[in-house]
Amino acid sequence: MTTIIKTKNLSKSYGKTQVLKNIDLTIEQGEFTAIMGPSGSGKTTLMNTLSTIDSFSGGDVWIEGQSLLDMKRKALREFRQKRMGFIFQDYNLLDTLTVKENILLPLSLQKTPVAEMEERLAKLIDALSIESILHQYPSEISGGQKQRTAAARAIITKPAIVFADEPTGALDSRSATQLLEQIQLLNKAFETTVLMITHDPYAASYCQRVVFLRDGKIVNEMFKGEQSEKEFFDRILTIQSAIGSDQR
Amino acid sequence: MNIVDLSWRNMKRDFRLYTIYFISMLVGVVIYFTFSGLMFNEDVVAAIQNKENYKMVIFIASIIVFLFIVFFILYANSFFMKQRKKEFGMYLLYGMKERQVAAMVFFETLFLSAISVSSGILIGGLLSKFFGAILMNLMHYNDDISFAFPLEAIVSTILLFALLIVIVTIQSYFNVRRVQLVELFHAKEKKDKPFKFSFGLAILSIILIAASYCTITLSGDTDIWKDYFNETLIATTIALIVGTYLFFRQFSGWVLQKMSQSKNYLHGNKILWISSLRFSIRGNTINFTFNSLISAMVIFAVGFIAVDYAVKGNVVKKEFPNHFAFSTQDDKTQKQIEQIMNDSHPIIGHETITGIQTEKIPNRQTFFSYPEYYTEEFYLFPESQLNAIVDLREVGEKVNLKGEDAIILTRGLDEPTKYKSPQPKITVLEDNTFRVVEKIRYPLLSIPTSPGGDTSPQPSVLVISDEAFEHLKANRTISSYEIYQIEDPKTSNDVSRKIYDIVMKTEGAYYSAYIDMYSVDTESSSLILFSVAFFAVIALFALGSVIYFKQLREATEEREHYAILRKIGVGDKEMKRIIRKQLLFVFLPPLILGLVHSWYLLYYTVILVIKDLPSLTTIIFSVMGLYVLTYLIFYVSSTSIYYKIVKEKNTR
Repeated sequence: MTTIIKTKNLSKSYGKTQVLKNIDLTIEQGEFTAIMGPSGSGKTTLMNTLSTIDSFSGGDVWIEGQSLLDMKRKALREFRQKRMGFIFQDYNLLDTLTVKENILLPLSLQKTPVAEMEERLAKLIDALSIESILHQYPSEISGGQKQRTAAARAIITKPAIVFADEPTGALDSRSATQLLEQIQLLNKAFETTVLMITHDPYAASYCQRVVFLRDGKIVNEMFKGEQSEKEFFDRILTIQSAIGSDQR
Repeated sequence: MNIVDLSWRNMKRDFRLYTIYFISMLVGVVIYFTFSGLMFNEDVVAAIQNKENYKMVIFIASIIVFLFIVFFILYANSFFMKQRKKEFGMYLLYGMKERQVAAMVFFETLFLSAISVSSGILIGGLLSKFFGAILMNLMHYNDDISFAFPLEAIVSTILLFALLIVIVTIQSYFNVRRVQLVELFHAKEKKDKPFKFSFGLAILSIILIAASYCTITLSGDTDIWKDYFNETLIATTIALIVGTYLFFRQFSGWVLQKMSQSKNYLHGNKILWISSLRFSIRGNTINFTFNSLISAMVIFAVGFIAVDYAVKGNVVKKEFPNHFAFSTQDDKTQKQIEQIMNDSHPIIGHETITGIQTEKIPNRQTFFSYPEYYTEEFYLFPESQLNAIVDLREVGEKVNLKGEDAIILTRGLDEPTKYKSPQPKITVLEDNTFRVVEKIRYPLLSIPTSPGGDTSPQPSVLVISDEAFEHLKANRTISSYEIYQIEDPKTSNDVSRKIYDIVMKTEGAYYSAYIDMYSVDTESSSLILFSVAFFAVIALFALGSVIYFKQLREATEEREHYAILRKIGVGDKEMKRIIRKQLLFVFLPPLILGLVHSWYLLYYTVILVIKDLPSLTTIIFSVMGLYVLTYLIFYVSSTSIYYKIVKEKNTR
């Protein structure tokens, strides 16, 4: 198993406020990890630094063995474009493109041959059940369908890791369950590494591993192992109430 | 916090939006004040020969300028109001009354207008010296124009802008009333599917444009232009406008649709700008149509008027080759007149010609295409005198006539013709018949004038052989005319006035001076060129700001798109490339269509008609070149603004 992300003493401060404090975290290939924590715990900042969208103030981050400190802006951007995928809470689909065009956009920009694009798309269509909406525009489809489109867009580039920022945040429970099941499926079938940020224990219960964050520090970590989602969910709830939950 | 305070804070906060609005108003004041300042500028008025005409033209022009400004400021204000819709909604939500919001807008407008009117008048006053100098230069006068802030101009500017403030406030009030609170709670309106384009209508647009071009191509002599001029003109104009509209709405949409179906579409960034354009066509059609028609109009008008201005000098020179020509006076008066000329403009050539005036000739229309421009009587001159004048002017060709052969002299409008047998006959002085072998364009006796610029019909002249003239001369009254060439005739206004007064003491005397026509013509064509150039500047400015506002709005709307692109890893360079391509498609087609439209119009109304002006193509190409340059500046600045807006509010 290869290591996708490794951080050592990762710190980040905005002025005097320290948002991340000496975080040591390792994410292996194929893992489906959730980062949980109340708002203000630094989980979004952590994801932004790991995904190279934001800089950090101390320590170092290695992605696929490469230190981010050694990489220039352009290299970071290319790295982000080719090796990372993103799923956002508000979908971030371009409303002037059809579902298919939205999914293929990253490949288009990388000038991938059209035949290869179609081939990669075909593999995802079933897993995400998006066949029927391929030629529709974002304004014509539901939130769950939008998020599945976004998921497809995130993994079509075969990234080393997919960052998902509250992917179920704007969805109703049925669509959320469907999406989580599908991400789980993709994770298993394609060995896609997924790092998900969430404050929702239910969403976290679909992951293999949950990392708890509070005040910029990792305070707990648990693995699902052979438990069912339900059992895992109960354990997460217990820990969460111990740490102090966040109802927002 | 009171309303005035709130207005002040708004202005400080949303600086860019207010700046645009302020600049539009400022430019409006500057243009208007410059114009009305010229109307009342004493130095300019003193130099002008035809003062009534001048005031009239400038007055009408300033009304047009004002209408332009009203239209333009209302447009700017409505854009401004739309941008602030959300802000107004918030005020209303927190319990402000609509009247209070309108009052706030009124204070803002008042404040902005006060600054723009006072600084506009200052700038306009300074510019009026410059524009006055340009006008004097166009008219070939050497008078100096000083800085001037005529009271009348200041008052009229302030009054008109006060009126404008009232109109703008009313418009704003209605805009505030139209704000619906519910809109605040809705997310931004989602875009629909792209518009479906019809192949039929796309083809129709091409057919309409082609048809109107064809009609323009048909020369003015064809039946439809001759018999149904107005109808054809209207039909052509409508076809051109509708064709242009459909071209942008259907044809370009159809082309983009075809492009989006091509295999290559998914490759590279095409997918982004093509889809974005397909969505924006519906909202942009009117704009594109407006742009290309304004472009066509501006280029055509400026090109046409500039050529007209350039040609005028030549035309006057051809039609009025005699610097002075008048009925011969007695010796004493003749000496006096020569003295007047020599005092300021030394005589460089002089010739006396004698001829015989005939009775009214009924069949003038056989020889003249436009008989109403010629006297009903003919004047007979022997060939030797025509040849003497050719020597004097050093222009034209000498003639040699035999027996009953005769030549008719015409003016500009009549095509020169060599008659083949049977040659037309003309009978003068009861029973003397001549055979007209040719008509040539050569004004021996030019059109009678007066120093105010009034003219009478051109004397109809028949040139006959010397022998025939000798024969007719016996027992008939002979009239003789003095023809003078002087130095620097373009400044001989005062000389002409004095001589005219002397010559016209005799009733029915003939008088014609080059300067009379020259000064009136140059003044009026300079004024028209000046006004049209001014309108062109305003039109360009209006066009520029319409484009600018539109881009500003679109960039703001697309900001989210670009934020998404940035998140999925699109770099700055790539974004710039996408924006450039997208805007190229917004700018280029209206420009090209406008250029082609105006080229067709100019080609068939000017270039084909005027043959002997070497600078013709230079003039037309420089007008077009200037236009393209301005457009290029619009394009470059729009892309940079677009990029700036899109880049705002983004991390790294």
